[in-house]
Amino acid sequence: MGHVQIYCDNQGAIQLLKHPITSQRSKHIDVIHHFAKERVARKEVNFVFCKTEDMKADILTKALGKFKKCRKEIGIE
Amino acid sequence: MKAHLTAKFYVRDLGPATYFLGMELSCDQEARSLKLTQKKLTGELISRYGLADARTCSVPLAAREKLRKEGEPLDTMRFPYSECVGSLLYLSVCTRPNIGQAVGALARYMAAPTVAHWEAALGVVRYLVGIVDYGLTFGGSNETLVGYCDADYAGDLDSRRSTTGYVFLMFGGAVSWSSRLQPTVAVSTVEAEYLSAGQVVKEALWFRKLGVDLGSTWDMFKSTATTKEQFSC
Repeated sequence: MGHVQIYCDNQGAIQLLKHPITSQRSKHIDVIHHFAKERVARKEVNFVFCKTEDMKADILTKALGKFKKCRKEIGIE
Repeated sequence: MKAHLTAKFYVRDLGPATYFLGMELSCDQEARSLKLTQKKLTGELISRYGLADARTCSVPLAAREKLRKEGEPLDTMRFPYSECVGSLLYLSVCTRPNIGQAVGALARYMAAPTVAHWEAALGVVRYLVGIVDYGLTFGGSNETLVGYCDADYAGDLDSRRSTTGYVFLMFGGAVSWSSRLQPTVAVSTVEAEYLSAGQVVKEALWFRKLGVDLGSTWDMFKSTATTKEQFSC
C-alpha cells in the first residue's frame, strides 16, 4: 500500500505534520487535529510543498486574480 | 458483464450514457476526454432571475466584497434567497467547484439574509452567464490522483474563523472538493492550514480505501500514469 500525495502551500503546517514536536505556538491545537500527523507518520499520506501560485485548491478558499488559471487547472472549461 | 446482469435482472440497454442525474455527459473519443456539464439547469437558473442578457462577472464573489451578518434585512417573500442559493449549491456540488467558495459563503446567511447577500447571490448567477457550457473535463492529464489543500485564514468577518478548501484531481479533472468554514478559530495561518490538512487526510484515506476495494481496476488506472507515481494503492 502506498501513500496519497497532497500538496500544501504552507511550510509551517508541513513541518508540524512531519516532525512531532510541540512548541509554545502549537500546544493549544486540540489532540483531534493531530490525527493528520499520525497518518503522515504511518505513511498513508504524504505532504509536499507547492508554491502559492501552483495551489489549485485556492479557488475553494478565496476569489483572487488567478481564479481563471485555477479554474482551468481543476479541469473546468 | 452485460450478459451477466441481464441474466439476473431485467435490464434495458440505452447505449452510452449521455444524461445522468441532470448532468450531461459528453465523450470525446479522439481527445480521450469526458466532460460533465449542467447546461440545462444553469440556463434555467439564469432565466429564472431574468439575467440572460446581463453583463457577466469574471469571478463569482470578489475577494474585496466581504459578506457580513449585519445589514438591511431582505424581504424573502419577494426575493427567494434560499431557493437561489439552494440551486447554486446543487451546481457547485455536481459540476462547478469554481463557485464552491462563493456559494459556501452565501449559504451561511440562509437564516437571515440581507439585501447585500441577495445582490451577491445574483452576482454568482451573473458569473454563470458567461460560462454556461463549462463543465468538468477529465483526460487532460495522466495523473491518477493528487490532492491539494489550502486555507483562508480568518476569512469570515463575523466569527474570524478560517475556511478549509481542498480538491482532489484525477486525470486533470476535479473528483472531490470542499470549501467549508472551520469549526474553531485558528490563531495563525499555520494552524488554519494544519486544520485543513486534517480534513484532506480524511478524504485521502477514503480514496485509499476505495482504491483497495476497486482492486484490479485500480491497477489498470495506475499503469496509465506515466508521470511520477502520485497515488499508489
